[in-house]
Amino acid sequence: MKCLYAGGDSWCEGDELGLPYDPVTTPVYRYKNSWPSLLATQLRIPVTVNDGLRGTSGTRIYRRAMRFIRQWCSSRPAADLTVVLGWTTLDRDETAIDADYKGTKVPYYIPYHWHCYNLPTMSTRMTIDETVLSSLKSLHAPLTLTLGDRSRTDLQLERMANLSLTCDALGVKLLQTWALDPPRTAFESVAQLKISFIEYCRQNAIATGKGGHALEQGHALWAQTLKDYYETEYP
Amino acid sequence: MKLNIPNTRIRGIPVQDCVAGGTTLLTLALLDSRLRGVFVDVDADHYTISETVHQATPLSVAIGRVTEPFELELDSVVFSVTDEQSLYELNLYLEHR
Repeated sequence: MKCLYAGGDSWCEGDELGLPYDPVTTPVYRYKNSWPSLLATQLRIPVTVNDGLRGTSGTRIYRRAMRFIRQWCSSRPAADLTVVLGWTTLDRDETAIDADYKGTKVPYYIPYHWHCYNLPTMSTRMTIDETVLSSLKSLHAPLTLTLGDRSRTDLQLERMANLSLTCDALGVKLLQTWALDPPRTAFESVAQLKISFIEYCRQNAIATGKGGHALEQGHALWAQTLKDYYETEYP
Repeated sequence: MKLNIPNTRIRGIPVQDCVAGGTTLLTLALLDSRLRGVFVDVDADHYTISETVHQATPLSVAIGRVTEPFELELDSVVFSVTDEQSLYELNLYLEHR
């Protein structure tokens, strides 16, 4: 079985597709109409995992992609896996905590900037320690507003270079792209699609939603752009 | 681990076609290397399910009357997906683990 794993932020998840939001039907609509599934169809890959999440960080994209690659390669041929990542801005990050889920301690990773609306009210059965929540609030402002991004730029280069080396060594096909457009000259040593999804939309005057995300047409055109890039990387 | 697929719909969508963690529940289950069998309710869309299972795994599909819920085990927590709330909770967990 061939599989396409896509990682990224809201531009990967398909944010603003299928509105007004319905908790059951909208995720299904987004899954079918965002670029990962459209690209998989064009590449004749039958299984898509769209791991995009609104507001996510490079830390999460890297962590989850590496885990998926490792788990996939433990029981399936590496050559059957295609990984496509849409990196995001460098100011986002997450922190690891243990959450209590139905009485079991489970790993849980919270984006710093989600402290204000994600927890704990999104689920009546999950609780987060108040100290963790107040700590996130304390970290959020200085992390995102006052510190420079030199160290985060170096971390991002590590992520991209390590993924490239890992996939090359294993035989996994990897495409690295960008959803948003932070300064990227520091990453030019790693193979990547130069234009970002948001730049592509601007340059081609593609309609966006109220939140600035691409809609159905944008996802379809971006999937075609990625297919063209795939064919140059893996002719 | 055995996957039971009942004839359950959530807001009109067959449970196995609902999306959590960025993929369908059926694909999510099939990606689990511990999966050893698939049991589908006779009233569910067993033709499509069989095709998907056949594409993804070497497993065959047994068809009968399934009374157990659609269940996934993650990090030692068992998620039974039976309705909108349980689907939401599974999705929330998958997004942040």
